[in-house]
Amino acid sequence: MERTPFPPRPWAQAAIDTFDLESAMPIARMAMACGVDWLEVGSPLIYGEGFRAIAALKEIAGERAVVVDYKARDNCHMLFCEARKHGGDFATVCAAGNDFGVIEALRARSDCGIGVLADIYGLDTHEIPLRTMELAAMGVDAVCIHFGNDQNAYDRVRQQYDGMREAKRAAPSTPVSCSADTLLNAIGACKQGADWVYFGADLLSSAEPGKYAPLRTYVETVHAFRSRAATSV
Amino acid sequence: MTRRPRDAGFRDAASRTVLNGGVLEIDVEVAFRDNRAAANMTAPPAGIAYKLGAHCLLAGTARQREGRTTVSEDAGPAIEVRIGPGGIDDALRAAEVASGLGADRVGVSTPLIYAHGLEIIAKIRRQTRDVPILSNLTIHDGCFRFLAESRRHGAEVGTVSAIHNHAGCRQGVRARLATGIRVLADMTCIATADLPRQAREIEAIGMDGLVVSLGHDPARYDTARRESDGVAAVVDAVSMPVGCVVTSLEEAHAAGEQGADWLILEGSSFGAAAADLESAIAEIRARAYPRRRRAQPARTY
Repeated sequence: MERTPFPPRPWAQAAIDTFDLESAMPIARMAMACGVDWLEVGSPLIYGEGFRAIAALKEIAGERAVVVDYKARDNCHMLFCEARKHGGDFATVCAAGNDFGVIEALRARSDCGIGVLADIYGLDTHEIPLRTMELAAMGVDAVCIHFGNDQNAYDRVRQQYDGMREAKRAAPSTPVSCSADTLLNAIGACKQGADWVYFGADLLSSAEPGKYAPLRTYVETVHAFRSRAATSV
Repeated sequence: MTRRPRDAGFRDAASRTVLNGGVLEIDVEVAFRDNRAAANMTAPPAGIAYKLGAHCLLAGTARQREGRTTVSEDAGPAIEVRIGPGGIDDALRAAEVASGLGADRVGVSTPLIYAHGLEIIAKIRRQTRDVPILSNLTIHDGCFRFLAESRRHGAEVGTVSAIHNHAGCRQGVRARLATGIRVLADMTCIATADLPRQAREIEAIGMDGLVVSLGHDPARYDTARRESDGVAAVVDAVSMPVGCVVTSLEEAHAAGEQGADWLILEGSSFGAAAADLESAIAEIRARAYPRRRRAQPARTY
């Protein structure tokens, strides 16, 4: 089974972060209707519903890629193979201080073809370039800079895209993304060279009719950077 | 050996204890009847003891005997049996076996949660009834939500991945205050030499305990490191309860001798047959570990 290739950059990944499929499905459909490139089985959904959530979202995503956001730290080979078996195209491994987990995820890629996204949640901004370089050398498919909600609760200064420019300089040929839960953050990330952005939060908190317009604007804005990316190459 | 009571309810219970050769016995039924705070609890005795003195429970063992829970300082480490990946029926059977064999706690492993969702905790809760359940989330971000959900599904304890994650640990403490779930720091992927420093930082944040865990992936490549490596250093560094994940009896003994307060037996590693797990638990219970953890005052939460 061929894995879905990377879309033209930058692309948008919608994280479906509910705990149950019942509320996840309409949000996923809304995200697809608004043109997102990748659909993410968010950590709450995989914890809440288990592997069946992957298959359910893949059915909605069709040809577009599904990312399983485990942020796996251990048992990575087994978890990545299971994700692939259930229809996932990519899965995330917690890559901060976890070389062995990354190696196991890469072993799973050899065995089943799943893509490996290295999530560097927890690293300080100044640690990002070196770790990105290391992960690129290890052969991961892409790196995700992740300034999470819990960190944000205690650090109101750092922006979600901080470290992006430095990471791209450190590993120019490896796709790098960051979380960007607002339009402003997405613009900031794309300006700094993000290959893609992933988002959830308010934009994907429900599938009410009023959510479509801001979501569509978000995706179109990210896609608008494609011409800029093409020129810069 | 006596403990400073942590609240009025515990003091009341402690006043009715029998000091018998250093073994502190708490008649939970008396404590339950006479303690207004406890009177609101609907949990069975082990759960009450857990709420009255989780520190004691983890530092010693709590066993149910005809409605009476004994919290013993002189007993060996408490035992948690962790249910590994597999089908729902297998997991329920394993949980039933573990609780039947007298495990102090049943742990739901991360891969098992990934496979079946948090609902597996509720199912295991129905199966094990009185035995406390640990939800081994090893979560990184959004810790409050995940721990609250685990509590809602019936878990008394949850874990947060501690490496590079002080923010998550702090959110874990917030979840404990809001929901009552006990929160442990999982130390997987932290180098042995770095364990004591990290443990002190975790303790300062206010976590309920920490788990020294080598992890399956590191174990595959770092063959020189033993599962029990670093336990003694961590026990010396902090006053909070320290657990250790073990996959063999040899490592269980090594961790016990280094002063681990509880041992986490990876259920599947001790053989498929219940008899294997039973003999392992019996041997750990029977073993007199020479290294005793120094007495610590009860913590105020």
